Amino acid sequence: MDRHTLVLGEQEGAAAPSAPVDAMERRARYFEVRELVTIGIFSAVIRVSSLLVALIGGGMNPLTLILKNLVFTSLLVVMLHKVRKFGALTLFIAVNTLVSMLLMGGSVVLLPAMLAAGLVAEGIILLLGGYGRTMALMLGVAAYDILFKVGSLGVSWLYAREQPQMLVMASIFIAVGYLGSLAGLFAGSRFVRELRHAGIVRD
Amino acid sequence: MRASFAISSGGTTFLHALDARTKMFVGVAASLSVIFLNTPQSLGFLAAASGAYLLVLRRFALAGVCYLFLLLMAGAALGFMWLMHGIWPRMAEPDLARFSIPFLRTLVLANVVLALALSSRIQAVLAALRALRLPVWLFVPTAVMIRFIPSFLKDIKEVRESMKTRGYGSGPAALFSRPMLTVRLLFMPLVVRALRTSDELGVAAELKGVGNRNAASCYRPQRFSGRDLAVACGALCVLTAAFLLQSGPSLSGGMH
Repeated sequence: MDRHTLVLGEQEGAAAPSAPVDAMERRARYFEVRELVTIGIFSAVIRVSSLLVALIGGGMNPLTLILKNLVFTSLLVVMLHKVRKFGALTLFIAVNTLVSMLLMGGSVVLLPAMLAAGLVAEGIILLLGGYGRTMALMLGVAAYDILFKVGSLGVSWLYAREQPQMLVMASIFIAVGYLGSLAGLFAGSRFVRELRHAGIVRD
Repeated sequence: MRASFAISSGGTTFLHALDARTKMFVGVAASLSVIFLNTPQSLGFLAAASGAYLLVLRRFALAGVCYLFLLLMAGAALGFMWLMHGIWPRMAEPDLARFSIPFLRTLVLANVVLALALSSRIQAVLAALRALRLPVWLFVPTAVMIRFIPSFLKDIKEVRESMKTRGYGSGPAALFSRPMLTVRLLFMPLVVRALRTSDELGVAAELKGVGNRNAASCYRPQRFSGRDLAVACGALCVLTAAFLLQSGPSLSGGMH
């Protein structure tokens, strides 16, 4: 309890922090804590939703593939409307890849590919007018999703290179799934309109 | 808001007593090694060793279900490959020995991930992440994600129950007959809940001083014990043995 009081006291400016600490704090607070929490919450929701659709519909049929990807991109569009800052998408990817790597047996080699995909997508969003424009967000998410899928296919090749025929089937599944991703962009944009109407997402 | 959700692993085996970081290390080391290992012998050895690591937990029924699922996946993949060979004969016929390699890799990963998931409390995983000294901007969303996955699984259960009460199905039949309506009814409440939770939790986190420059104290500090060291060394020995098995003169396979 005492420790807690001391921490709050220090925060209110009792101690004068040095210049390097100030600079570090400013860097750390580029994202506000509530934005970091939103990214974490949406990472959980997206993972759980994809799992749910796969469990309800079975993983290997076209409708499930389409719906799973639709839910993924639509939730991603909603998240980016809530956290409108350069780096939000890349941070989302970093968090997901880190959790996959540490807790789910995901491959370490996926991390650079995913981060590159995120940065390319963020570059596209910036070029098309930034996080304030819905169309830029949609195209950025579309670019990220295709790069993510190509990267995943590359990592799958590492794991199944002895039997590359398996990747033909995976490529077909990915192509079908991408149709769902494209539909999800519009569904996400519609979700955002409804959430704005309800006052849950603000401009 | 169920921010304090916790899953009790409820066991007392050797694996339960290990630090979560040790189990994470075993998982990451295994996932890296299986990329380079490419003979059935070396991967088979690693699959057997990781299987023994998992069976320390004595969750034989669950392990059996997971193995059955993997076997079904392997059967489906093999079926597709035969089908493709039938439709397009230029595509090579599946070779069972080579086909086994990707599935042995999956088996190794399934063993180490299950061992981690079934023997670690969520608090222990979060404490382990904190001990990794990740920057705040990476630690906060990661911790929130891990903490809220079980909570959202419960929320989905509640949403499905409310759909049932209102006369809407939420099973495979509904998904195939009215896919868009089912997805909408299932996910819109979830999205609203996620947004509300993120607002509430964000304010709570700011009020508690999460993200300020003062280091957070830990209720139960994470410490490595002798058994963590033994398991980490044992894992390295097993991986070395697998690589030696691969590079042995009679079993050389080389990178394909």
